[in-house]
Amino acid sequence: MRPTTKTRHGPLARLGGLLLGAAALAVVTAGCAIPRGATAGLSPVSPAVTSAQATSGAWIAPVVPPPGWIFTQYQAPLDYRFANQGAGTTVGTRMGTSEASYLRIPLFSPYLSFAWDDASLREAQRSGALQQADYVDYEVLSVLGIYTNVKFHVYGE
Amino acid sequence: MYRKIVAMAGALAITVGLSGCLVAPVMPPMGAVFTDYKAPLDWDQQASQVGAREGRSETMSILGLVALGDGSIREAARDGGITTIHGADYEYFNVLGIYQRYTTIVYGD
Repeated sequence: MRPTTKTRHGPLARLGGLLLGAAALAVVTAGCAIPRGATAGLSPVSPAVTSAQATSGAWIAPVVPPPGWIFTQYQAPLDYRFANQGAGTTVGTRMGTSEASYLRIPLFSPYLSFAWDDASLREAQRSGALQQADYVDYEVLSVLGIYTNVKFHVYGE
Repeated sequence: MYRKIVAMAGALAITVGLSGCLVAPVMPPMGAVFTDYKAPLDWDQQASQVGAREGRSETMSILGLVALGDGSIREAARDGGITTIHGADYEYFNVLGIYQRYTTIVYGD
């Protein structure tokens, strides 16, 4: 009869495994628990962190819905303050758009990455021939983080 | 048994790690397993009126791999038939990072 061998983990190994698992889970979930609304002025982010995030192809905005690792295409608010001293914000009938693109070479990023174009609000107002800008939405298209295109839609009159 | 627990914890960590997280101006604490809350999007209330109408727009992310939708202010205003916006909230729903939904809610007249 063949003797059965059973691997036994000592209490120290089990404790180490549990601590390691808890630490891994804490690290991956920490991003969900830390407010990162830096542009809203609520949670300042160090320039180093912001720079690293920007050169990795990630986008920084006050409101970022959950993105997709393979494919992302969504629109979200950029401007979210509508009180306007009690008068409210009019939903404009005209729209102007500006955009910027990002391309990185896999395996060599962030060193071989390129970003170009004019995504300024001025350019968006010019493209829509707007005299008055009421609010702004933005749109993101990203494929595997290799190519990312960000558009800003300015609405007004 | 021990290996199964480690494998399940690993799968959970990978799922949550792959799924990107929400960023918003105001974020209440989130649950890693389940989250469903509403919070202010427009937190700067200066004599703002309480709008009679409400409009919604939403985006969703599945497994943190694919994200689609239109959660813009424009779409929410169109949904509610709103011509003047007075305020905005947002809603976030998440189950283990497998299904995440972000909803923009605007109020106005």
